[in-house]
Amino acid sequence: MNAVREPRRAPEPEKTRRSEPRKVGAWREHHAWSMSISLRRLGARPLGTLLTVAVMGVALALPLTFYLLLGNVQRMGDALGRNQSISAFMKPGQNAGMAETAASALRGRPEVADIVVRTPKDGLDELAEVQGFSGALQSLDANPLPYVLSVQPKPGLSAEDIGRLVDSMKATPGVDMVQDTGAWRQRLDALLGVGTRAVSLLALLLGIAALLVVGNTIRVDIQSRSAEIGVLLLIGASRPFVRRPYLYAGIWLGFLAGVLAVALAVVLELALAGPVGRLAAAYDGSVSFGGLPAWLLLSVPFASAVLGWLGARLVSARQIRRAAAA
Amino acid sequence: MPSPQNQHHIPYPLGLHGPTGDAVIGFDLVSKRYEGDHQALTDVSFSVEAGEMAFVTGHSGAGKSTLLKLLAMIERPTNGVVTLDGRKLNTVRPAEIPKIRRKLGMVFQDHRLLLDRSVFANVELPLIIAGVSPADRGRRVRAALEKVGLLSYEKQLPEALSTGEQQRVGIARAIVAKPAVLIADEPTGNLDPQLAMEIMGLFAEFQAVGTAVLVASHDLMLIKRMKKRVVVLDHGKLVADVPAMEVV
Ligand SMILES: Nc1ncnc2c1ncn2[C@@H]1O[C@H](COP(=O)(O)OP(=O)(O)OP(=O)(O)O)[C@@H](O)[C@H]1O
Ligand SMILES: [Mg+2]
Repeated sequence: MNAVREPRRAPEPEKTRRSEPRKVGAWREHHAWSMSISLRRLGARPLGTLLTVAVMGVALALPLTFYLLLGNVQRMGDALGRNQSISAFMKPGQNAGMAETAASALRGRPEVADIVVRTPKDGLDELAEVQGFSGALQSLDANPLPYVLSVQPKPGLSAEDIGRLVDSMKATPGVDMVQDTGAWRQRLDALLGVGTRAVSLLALLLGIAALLVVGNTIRVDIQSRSAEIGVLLLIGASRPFVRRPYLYAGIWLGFLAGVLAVALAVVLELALAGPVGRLAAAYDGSVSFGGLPAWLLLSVPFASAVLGWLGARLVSARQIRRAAAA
Repeated sequence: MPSPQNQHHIPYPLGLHGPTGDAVIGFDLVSKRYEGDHQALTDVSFSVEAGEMAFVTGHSGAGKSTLLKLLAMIERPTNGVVTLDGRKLNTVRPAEIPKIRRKLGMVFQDHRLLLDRSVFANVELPLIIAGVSPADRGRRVRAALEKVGLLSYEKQLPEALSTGEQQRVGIARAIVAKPAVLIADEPTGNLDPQLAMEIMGLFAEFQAVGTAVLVASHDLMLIKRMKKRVVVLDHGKLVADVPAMEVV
């Protein structure tokens, strides 16, 4: 009986003899296919894709916008704080010599860039320029204003340095009181520090939200394709092969969302540039509106693609295992 | 020659259909007990060689599908050894399963085509899984579709095809990567006798080019007309193994 059943060789499957280049070829084919099929599937569900991209894009655009605003407040603070001086009012009755002595004592300090001694007459002239005061000033018999030392600190000093300078000014003989007109700058810096921290935290939270949005979209997608996954596994697909198109889908969604976020941020930037520029000009002509840096705009889509990939990774292995078991 | 009816009493090493050098499918004292203590197969031994076609038949619940599921590694045997193309399946690690499944073409009663893509894309899948380049894929998919007579349907969606045509697409998908073994579970269950014969004729063609073919069916009329080897199961036991020559 065995004789009548002529033994024949099974056909040599074309894929069994696999040399290294062949393996690399297969790897490349798998990726090329996964990349294109994932794109086509996203295109086949335009509304769902659009919604996911929109939600994720807006989530990423928010921290970008806050970053933009914060950056501009910082710029304005820098520009406005540039010419802030600290004034030391001499005790009444002090003469020019005493003021000069106090000034030269302070000039030696490392924090000081320049000191201008303003006489009571300078002060009076300044006041006279302010409308409405001139009449009142003319009725005075003597000049009631003290000598004032206008101290210009070196640029880039920390709040502690300024504090030390103010203390030493207060301790200088003949000085009555010290007024730090630049103190708002320190408070602004502190506020900006809080703001930066808040924006970083917000970016982190919204980044996680974006990741979860993609993860959920991919999860639902895998769920709806459990029959297909079962067939693929039965005809010899490996789990990584089955998973790959979903990872690519995550990457595409993330990338598109990143592009949308950048587009939104740029639109906001253009909308804000005018009003902020005018506001800045009203304070000091040297202040201008600062946009988001190019490196940031260029890197957002890629960072967002990584987020999408992570989101897809997070859910796909588990979800495919479930689909395979079903 | 012993009568087919008592062949199963012969211990496997002496069995006429025991594994030979060319056995591509091998069952060696295979038993399967499902959860809940249901004994689906008991000590089944037989083998199928390259270029051989065999039917597995028996009443409903006899264990036909279970037998094929063991080959496809959908289920694992409780006892015994299943061999596929020289590989003992009980020693296969989970990570190796996909690779071994690629030696196996599977045809399902409900065809299991992916309905959201064309006939071409369905047949192409095993080649994509095997990492074949797009140019080669196109050539081989068309060759497979031509073989089942559906070349002109390549752009259609499966739903636009008749049941028999869908089943032929399923067969094209099963053979496109040139597997060593082709298995089919009730592939003609939904088809009228004329179509069923056509499908079986296709299987015979793949047998002729050296593929081992194992078809589970309870359609005795059809089996008789095909004049191929018949393995008969009864309550999970192999009760007859009728060689092709003796099928009347
Ligand atoms: N997953 C399972 N869990 C428990 N029992 C099962 C399972 N699959 C099959 N069985 C039982 O094993 C026995 C053999 O089933 P199998 O599906 O192999 O039979 P069959 O010959 O293919 O029947 P049919 O002709 O109806 O398709 C049946 O009694 C069935 O109830
Ligand atoms: Mg069955």
